[in-house]
Amino acid sequence: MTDLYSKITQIYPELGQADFALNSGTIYLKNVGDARGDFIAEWNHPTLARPTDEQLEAIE
Amino acid sequence: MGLKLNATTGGGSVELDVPNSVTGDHTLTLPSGVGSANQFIKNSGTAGTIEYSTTTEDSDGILHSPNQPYFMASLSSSTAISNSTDTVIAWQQIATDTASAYNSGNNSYDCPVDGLYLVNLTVQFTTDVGALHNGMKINGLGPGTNFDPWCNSGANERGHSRSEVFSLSAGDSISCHAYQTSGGSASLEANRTKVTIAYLG
Repeated sequence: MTDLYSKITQIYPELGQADFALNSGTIYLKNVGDARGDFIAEWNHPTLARPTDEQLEAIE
Repeated sequence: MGLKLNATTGGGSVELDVPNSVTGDHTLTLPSGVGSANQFIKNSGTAGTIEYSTTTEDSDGILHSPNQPYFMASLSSSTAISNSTDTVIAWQQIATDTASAYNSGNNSYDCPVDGLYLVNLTVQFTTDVGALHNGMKINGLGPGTNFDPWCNSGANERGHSRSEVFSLSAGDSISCHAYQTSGGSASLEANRTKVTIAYLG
């Protein structure tokens, strides 16, 4: 199963590790050990829109 | 005025006195038993009723408080950490939790009393990873202003251990976190990933 980071970078290939970096990145992925698994906790990218659940679910 | 008790032999005595000046009438109620060796006596939850403390002092002058909060836990099986994802470590093997303070619902240690807590967290992966981060958060956030929850031990690292002391209030939660940027999922190693939390007082 594709992880959330890979799904997002498939939707937006221009994104890289630096965009997800702790503190300095604009996208913050989190997993608090509940049923949600990995999720987007914050999306502050200046130009790219936060992917919809449908976009993410479409990627296996 | 005091109560003078004369010794059976030796000719001496022991006297129990009250302070020179006292306002009002006061009663000190003694324990019903003799307690155990090396125990302290203290004012109980009912002021004026004296009871034995669980704290003892041994012959070397070392204090022992058996009910002090202490927590020791580890992973009993490997746990996947997705790339670039702040992940709370869900402890699987709880070896010791004297205060029953670990909350498996949100994977945090909920402080039972106010005070200083020493936290030691070892994060180890099954292989070298990129940007291995070892994280400690208080109530889901950084422990303080300009006190980041993370320590980045760098690229191509497998394990990292760190200690911090936090001044916390009863009800504050301590959570342990891991983060890596190897490009894909990496696994925290069973038995090697572990935590201890000790109450310092």
